[in-house]
Amino acid sequence: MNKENPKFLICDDSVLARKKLTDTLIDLGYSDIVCVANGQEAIDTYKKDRPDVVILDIVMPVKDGISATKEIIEYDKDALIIISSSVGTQSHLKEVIKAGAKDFIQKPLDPKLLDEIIKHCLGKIE
Amino acid sequence: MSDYEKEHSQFVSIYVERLTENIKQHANDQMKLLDINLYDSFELNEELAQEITGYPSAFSAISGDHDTLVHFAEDYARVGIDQYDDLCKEALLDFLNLINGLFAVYLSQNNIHEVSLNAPTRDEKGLVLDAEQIGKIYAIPIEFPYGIVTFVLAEPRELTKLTKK
Repeated sequence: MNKENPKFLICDDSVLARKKLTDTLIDLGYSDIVCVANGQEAIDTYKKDRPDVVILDIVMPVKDGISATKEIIEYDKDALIIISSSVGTQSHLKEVIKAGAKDFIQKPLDPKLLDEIIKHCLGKIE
Repeated sequence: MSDYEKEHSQFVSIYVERLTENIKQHANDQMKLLDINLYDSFELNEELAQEITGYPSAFSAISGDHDTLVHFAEDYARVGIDQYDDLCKEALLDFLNLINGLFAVYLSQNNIHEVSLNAPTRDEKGLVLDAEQIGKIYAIPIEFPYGIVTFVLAEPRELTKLTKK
């Protein structure tokens, strides 16, 4: 894993959400970013590109973020997956953890919190 | 009033309260909630919608004239939206997804209900909502300096029977 310039995979069905998250990551100093629009594309891209960090939405067409997380973790138990969603209900948070995601961030995104979560996932901070 | 009607009434009240708060916080605080109306039938010229799933469930949508929706989308997204195009519609659906998500979080955190969302849907054909088929239809008009955006909340009993225009 390249901790200094990790490769990101963003998965969100909203064009606007993908743009905002990409811009936020660039502002945080990251540059290697790939975007896809649904959970199935995330699984396929993960297997092809092996990104260091995956940021997934929950509510998406074709395949939702929790199903995609389960399949990616089944393929690679060490995958670093962060769920980013507006639907941070108690039941979804339980599902997210059970599926194997490392963390959850509530939309609208707080860039500072996202930065901390990414650094924590990459092992840069305790 | 039956228990279901009481729960649905509470659901709508909370929806309106969270909607107005989140519009102020994430789009434009120069807004005014106008009188909420119940309709037997409501026509959406274009479907920009999202289903809230679980119990109680609901159908939600956003409606308005194009110029007003462009202004509102830009208020929220702040990415230079100046015409009613794909980006504008995506921003409106993103906003609907955000407010519905925050509504679901509020219900969950206050142990009221656990609801979820389906992916937002978009169809240029439009949609006719009929209260006989889907239950109560609430139109929630919000006035901004540039026009009125109407949020629609309907109780979907049989969504499969919705009539496409």
